[in-house]
Amino acid sequence: MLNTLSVSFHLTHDCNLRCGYCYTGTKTHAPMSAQTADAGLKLIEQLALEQGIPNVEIIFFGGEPLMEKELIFHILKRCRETSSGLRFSFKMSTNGTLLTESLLLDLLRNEVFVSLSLDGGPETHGEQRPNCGGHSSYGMVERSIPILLKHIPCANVTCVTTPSSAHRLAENVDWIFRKGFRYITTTLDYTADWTSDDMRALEKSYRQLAIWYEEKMRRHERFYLSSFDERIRTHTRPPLQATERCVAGTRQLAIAPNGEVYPCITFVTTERLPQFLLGHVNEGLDDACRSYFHRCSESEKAECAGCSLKSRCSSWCACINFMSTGTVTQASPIVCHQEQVLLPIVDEVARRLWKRRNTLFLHKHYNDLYPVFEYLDINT
Amino acid sequence: MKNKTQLSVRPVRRTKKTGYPSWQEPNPLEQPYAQPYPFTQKALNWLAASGLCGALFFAQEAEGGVAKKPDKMERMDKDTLGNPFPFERMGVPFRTSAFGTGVPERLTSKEAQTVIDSVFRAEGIRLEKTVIRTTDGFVEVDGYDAVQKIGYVWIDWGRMDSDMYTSWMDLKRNKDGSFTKVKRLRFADNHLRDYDYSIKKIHEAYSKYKPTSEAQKAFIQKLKNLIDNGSPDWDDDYKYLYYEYILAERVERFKKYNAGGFSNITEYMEGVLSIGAGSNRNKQLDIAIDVLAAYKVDEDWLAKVLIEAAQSRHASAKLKRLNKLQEAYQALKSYAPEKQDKLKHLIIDGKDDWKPAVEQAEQWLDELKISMVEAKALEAEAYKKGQFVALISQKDERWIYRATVEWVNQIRQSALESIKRQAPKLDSIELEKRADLWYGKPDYSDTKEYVLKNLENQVHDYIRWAKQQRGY
Repeated sequence: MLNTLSVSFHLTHDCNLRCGYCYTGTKTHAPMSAQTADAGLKLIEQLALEQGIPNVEIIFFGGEPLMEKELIFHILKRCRETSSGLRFSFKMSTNGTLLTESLLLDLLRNEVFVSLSLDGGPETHGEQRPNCGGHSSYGMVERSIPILLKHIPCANVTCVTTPSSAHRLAENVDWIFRKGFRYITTTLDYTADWTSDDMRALEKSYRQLAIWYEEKMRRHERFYLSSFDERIRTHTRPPLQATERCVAGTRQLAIAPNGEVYPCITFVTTERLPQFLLGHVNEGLDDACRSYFHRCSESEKAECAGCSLKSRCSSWCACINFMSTGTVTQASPIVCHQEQVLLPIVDEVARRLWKRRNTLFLHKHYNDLYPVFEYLDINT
Repeated sequence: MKNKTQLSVRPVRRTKKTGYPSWQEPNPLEQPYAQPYPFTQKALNWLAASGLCGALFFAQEAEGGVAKKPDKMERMDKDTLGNPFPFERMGVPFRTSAFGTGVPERLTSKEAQTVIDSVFRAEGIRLEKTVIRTTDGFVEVDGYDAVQKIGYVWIDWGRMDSDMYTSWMDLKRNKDGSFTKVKRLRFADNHLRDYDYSIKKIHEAYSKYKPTSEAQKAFIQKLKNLIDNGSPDWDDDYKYLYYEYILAERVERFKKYNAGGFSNITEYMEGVLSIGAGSNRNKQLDIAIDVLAAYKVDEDWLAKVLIEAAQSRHASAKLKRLNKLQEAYQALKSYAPEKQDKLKHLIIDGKDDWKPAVEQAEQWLDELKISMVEAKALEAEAYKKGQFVALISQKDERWIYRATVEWVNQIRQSALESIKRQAPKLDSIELEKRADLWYGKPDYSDTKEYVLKNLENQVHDYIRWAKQQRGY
């Protein structure tokens, strides 16, 4: 992460879905212009060269980025033509409704790694991700799943859990797995009003998921489940340093469709957040704002003082804290409760796998070369 | 109705132990031996087809492959039989590790002695705990047959004298990786302050006895004189002064406390008997006799002290063997012409009839721990007197193990299951062959069971060697 500048291009605020938990605000047809995109790229190159960062990661975001296909390829063309000497990599997060095979092949030719937002089975997906007409978008997404897996076997899926779908988390993960996805990132809707009852339902789901995880590991199934694997890694890998975890505002930026620059994707909404504005693609960045934001987001949270889970908790994430509390200086109570619930469950599963000396568990968490071997296993 | 309790951030003060290795512990992929990555058959076929078999080899090697361990099951050849427990293999002096970290698993005393005792029994040797006299003193051995003159001593941490180990704090690492023992100043100004503080604390606790501050000042002054004058024996002199001061305090306290009953008796006895070790024991005995004689301790009172200390549930293991101490003390005092005479002067006077009693007392005090000098002397006894006592040390590297048979079998079973899933039609013989090829043969040479078997064989060899030396 030290050598990479990560920039999200919010190509548009518009989207053909109306997900209940979407934090980006009102869906307006106000796409980014090609000039803004060019200015954004110029700013990024300048920034990367000034700071001696050799790698630039561009993430196409939105709204729904595939609604601005031409702009995507325009940016890709510009990056190929640049003579700055920087190495570019590309990612995109899409709802999958507009993905066709030819489009996917074009994206892959341009080395764009596509990840899918998929909340689970038809029931959950239909409830949480309706289209503009209020109907389930599952049918539109279902078509793109085999296309995606055919060309990207290691495609990543992001699964959002809301209070109303907390009791179905295990079922949703299993459904996604049975569809063929092997890299599953689960996250919560941090903007929602989670209550103790919701957390209890979530805990029950995590326990079911623990049984599922252990069974898959015992069968030596290759997969990645973020909620479990990342938490085990907080124990098997050294704690992340401040320069490694949240680099929002310093080595991570988000460019809104109108050219305003923010620290991270969470702050790019149709309702402007001037208190988090770092600059504009045409005017440059305010370094004082950037360092101030970084200091605020990295500041010690008084409410977390003395917590024995501090080194394993993700309360350092400014985005999540902002979504939950409205500020970056306060720890999210949703994260706090989740970690207190999930960490013991995860540790118990890991302990059981360790006790059996499960070979896959050992390599997954103690072998630095595991990602390479896993990639070979999944993609061959 | 939904519980609308709002969530809040609540720090966790205590957490359960995770139960699996953290990043701060040795990589479990290499403990006890490396475990190669379990590629799927599909991936292996692809690697082979793409000519990247070297990658597979690299993967195996990167994970350490399957290291070949030397066979540690040593057996003595009948014609070249030697002592399997020589002094050189005791692993002493050994270096303690910082805070006990990184130490390997070794056989426990109970495990080892169970095996050793069973072997001697099987060979028809009746062992009894006893004390053997060597040219350098007395040594308590764990089992000895006085008729066949063969036995063993198990030397674990509790039996080791101070010259058998070096604290990690006393060693300085050189550039070439070797270690140099650092002579540490036992006390400096801060130490003096610490002792001054601890002495003050003793005074506070026992303030009713009102020790004088002049005595305390005199003690500190004596210590400072030692430092300033650079006495070569400052270590022993300091200890002598310290013991004298502390013991005097305690004896004074218990004399006055005598009227009220007997409490903290073990503290007194431990203060007399447990300070110092090895070569300091004689000095300790001197001090104890000096103090007892100087303060005119009542014999009946002291006898009661001994009995109550032995019965006290707080008595240490040493004090629990107080019948011997009582005998030793009775032997000592019975030879004192008068109560006020210092017993050690009797030794100087050279009267023979009290010598055995004093030696017996010294013997009891000395036999608790074994020093390197005593161990070497014990080994030499085999050749001088035909007295064979095996020096079996817990720190011998042969008793280190890294796994158990159950663990190795579990790993093997896991490997077989993995292969079976990929190739379900393979029969059991083929499964084993493939597992050997991919994961290496199971290696039991680092298991506890193997080490115990090795110990058993070594003890058999020792008995055979001892009999051979004796010519029967």
